Amino acid sequence: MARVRYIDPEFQKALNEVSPAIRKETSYEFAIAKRIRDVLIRKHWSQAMLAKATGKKEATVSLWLSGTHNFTIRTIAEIECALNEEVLSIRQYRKPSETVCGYISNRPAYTGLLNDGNE
Amino acid sequence: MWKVEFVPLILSETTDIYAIKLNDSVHSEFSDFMSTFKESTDPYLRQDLDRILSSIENISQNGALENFFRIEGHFSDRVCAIPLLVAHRNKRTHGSLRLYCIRVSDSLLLIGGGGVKNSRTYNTDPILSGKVSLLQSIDKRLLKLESEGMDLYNEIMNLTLIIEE
Repeated sequence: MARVRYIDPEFQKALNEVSPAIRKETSYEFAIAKRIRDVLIRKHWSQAMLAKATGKKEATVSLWLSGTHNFTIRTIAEIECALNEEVLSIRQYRKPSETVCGYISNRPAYTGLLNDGNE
Repeated sequence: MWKVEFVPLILSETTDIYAIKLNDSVHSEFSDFMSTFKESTDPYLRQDLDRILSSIENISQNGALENFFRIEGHFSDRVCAIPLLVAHRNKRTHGSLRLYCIRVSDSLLLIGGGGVKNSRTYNTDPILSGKVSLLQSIDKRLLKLESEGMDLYNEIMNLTLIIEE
């Protein structure tokens, strides 16, 4: 995340009132667009080349890069295959081990809760 | 005649975004735009505003990259519109919001005003065409200053322009 040196208070207030889901959706759309653009630059590909590789129109590729496109999983997969690069990655969450907390109580139900559902 | 000043909106390590203020007004053009449509009774316009605000936030994080913007002025100027995913609606009864700006570079964006776009092109709408026309005049002056050696990125906050109508 780029460090913000200053943000207008009125704008910050208005931004805080935007639904978190819209803010998150927009951030994903922009991040994916920028990722695709960065890969194209590194590979010295034009938008036309990506269009040809994915079998889409150039206008479609332009839309992908606009930061306002609501991608389907299928489209992401097609782009990744065409570029032979990852565009989207999923973080793997590991379940904590049973003894990660090591809490014990004389009430079994509480012990389970303290140890993330594992007694 | 317009007296034009630039007030910081978001300054990040990636992009500096300024709002345009006219004729010593208390509020910038962008602030007026926000106030107008924040209270709109049209749910589509309120959603458009939310998306525009989010877009500006993301531009400050990712850069004012050329592919993010819709070209709105002429090819010879840098006037464009803030990106917006327009939710599906009946265009005869519900227009969509347009907010115009000058994309100086990947790291400098100047935001002007905007309004509701009900027509196919902004030229046929007197409010929108007025907003674009003003930005085109401002951009023309900025291009001249840059050609004379001014470093806009560092000087924009202290710059005052007088634009003849």
